[in-house]
Amino acid sequence: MIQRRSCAFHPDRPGHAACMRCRTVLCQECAASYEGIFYCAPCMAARRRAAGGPRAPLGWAFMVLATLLLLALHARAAVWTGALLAGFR
Amino acid sequence: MSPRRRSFTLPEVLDEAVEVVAAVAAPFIGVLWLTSLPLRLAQCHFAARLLELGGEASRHGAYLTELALLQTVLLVPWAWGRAVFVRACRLGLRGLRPGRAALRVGAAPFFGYLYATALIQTLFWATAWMFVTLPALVLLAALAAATHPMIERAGLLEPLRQIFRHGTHAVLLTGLLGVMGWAFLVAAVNLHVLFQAGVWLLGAFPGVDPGRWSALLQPRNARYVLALVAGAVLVLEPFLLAAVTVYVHKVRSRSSGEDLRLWFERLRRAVAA
Repeated sequence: MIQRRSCAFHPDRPGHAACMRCRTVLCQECAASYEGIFYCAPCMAARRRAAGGPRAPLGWAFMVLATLLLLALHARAAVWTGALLAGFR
Repeated sequence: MSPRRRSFTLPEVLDEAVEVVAAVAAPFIGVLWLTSLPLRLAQCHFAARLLELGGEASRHGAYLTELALLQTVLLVPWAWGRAVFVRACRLGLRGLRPGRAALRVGAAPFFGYLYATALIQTLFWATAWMFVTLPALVLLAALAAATHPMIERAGLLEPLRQIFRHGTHAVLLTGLLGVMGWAFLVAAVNLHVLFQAGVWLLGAFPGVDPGRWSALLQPRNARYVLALVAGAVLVLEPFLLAAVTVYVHKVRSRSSGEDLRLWFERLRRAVAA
């Protein structure tokens, strides 16, 4: 429940939302929405850091490898299907 | 009884898409076409060679693989051009003027999108002999482009999760695909008429023989038909991308309550006026 009606960062502005992580009251400018949930700037930054945290290098490695594999497969699939369809003609 | 929250319709999405395309046309359609054209030409050449080789195509595997690899390499600038265009559309939808900010595609969103593109394009070729899967894959490719800015971290599932999270309005998306199918036919016919008019106008210049061009620019010439298909795809690509970007924007606005906030703002402005 919002206890203070003014923004924690701009006391002259009315509260528009509360950060769902630290419950800070935010004005319209300070409230950052992600997937329908409001966050303050520090909590949003923390969320971003967590998203790119320790699992990120592994995620990058998997993604790059899968992309290279799929691109190679793309070329093979184009030749196979192309030759198959050309053979029907 | 509380009033039911109104859903958005296909005509609304198309209207807004046309406005967005007009707002970001210069220079972002140029960026999109510059990055798409090499891929489309490579695809045309590949298909033309396949048609020429016919049943002999399987004996020219090495040559066809070279042509296919060229397409694979050209997928990268194509994906970047689409990512930039989608970012420009998103900025336009927020009422901002898309400048250099549209060119700053983040590493995680771009590589996530490239991974999704590679997957969809591979499925496209692997299932091309069935034909029925192709429209669905075209739509998935557009959804992958429109949802790429939401990819926050590198991973194999994140790009796919974003596509399926937003691809919930099946009827609207099927309708959009139907409209684009008709638009594709209309664009191809218009391009053909344009080429024929060009050949006819060539006759006005002394020393120019329009007969040679007239023989080349006929539907019985497979390369010409492929060029028409590529041209129609190029013309429609910005509209399809913009329409799917508008659709994703509307889906997200509804889930976050942004649409209600904007509606409330409009009401307040109307009352104040």
